[in-house]
Amino acid sequence: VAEHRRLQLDDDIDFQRRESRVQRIGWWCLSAFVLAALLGAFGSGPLSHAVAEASGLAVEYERFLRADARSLLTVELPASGTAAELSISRSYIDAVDITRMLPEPSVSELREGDAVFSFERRDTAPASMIVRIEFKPRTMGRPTATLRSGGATVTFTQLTYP
Amino acid sequence: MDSVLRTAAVYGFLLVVFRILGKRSLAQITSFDFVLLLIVGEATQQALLGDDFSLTTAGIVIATLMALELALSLVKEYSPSFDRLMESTPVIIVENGQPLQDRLDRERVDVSDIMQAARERHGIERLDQIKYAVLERSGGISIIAK
Repeated sequence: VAEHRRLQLDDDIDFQRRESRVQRIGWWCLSAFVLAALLGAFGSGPLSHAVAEASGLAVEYERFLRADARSLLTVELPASGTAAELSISRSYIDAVDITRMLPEPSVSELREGDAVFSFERRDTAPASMIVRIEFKPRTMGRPTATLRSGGATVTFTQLTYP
Repeated sequence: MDSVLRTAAVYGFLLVVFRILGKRSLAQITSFDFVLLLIVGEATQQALLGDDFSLTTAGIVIATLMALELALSLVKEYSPSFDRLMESTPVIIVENGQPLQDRLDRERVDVSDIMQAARERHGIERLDQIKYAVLERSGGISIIAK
């Protein structure tokens, strides 16, 4: 030890030990972060996939979203005859940009603030129809969606990361 | 406002990640490490700019990064303990030809790394010709020959 005093150096062995301990904790945190991402804690994975359902209306959605990143709602609507209607709450329409719908609605309008989409179809046999809605959340936050169709109401909340 | 916050967040995240990985992570040891750094840069760029490719945003991002660098260097100047927290300290890893094994393990450096630095910069052939080897804060290894 006396020898290496000749080297003018700001080393601090206690600090280095502490640093190394914190780094090892950091490695675990880093691994946990990657594992969480794999499992879908930041969207698209088993932890993120969810289904909300009520009397014939079912919505598949992602629990976790990322701002400005595309996501998907798959909605199964109760349909009777040649028409079906889907209403999406205003708060949700304000929080996300709907970029595409498949099938496209024949009419879309604002009714008391909620967005209401009407769909027409030729095949009247099945009692339900499926609509895929592509959207992008605008900012981070917790958007809550209320979807209504044919008397059924489904509400779910998502988490949008920055 | 958004770009400034984005930049600060990316800056902070990178700072933490590289600090966790330790000194050697940034030393560009192999060509693959260099490629990895390029990919990190590419991934970062998307988060910094988003879909806004305007000159103004580029200016804001660059100015924010420089301002953060400046602010951090001022704080480091003022507070040595903060400097140490951000940049760590140099570590003596060879003393009088003897490798200090516990420190090598802690810093994930091995004798072949030391010998590489010794050959490249001093034409040293054997470990016992080294008086001191120091793992510097930059991640490089400096060699003092006997």
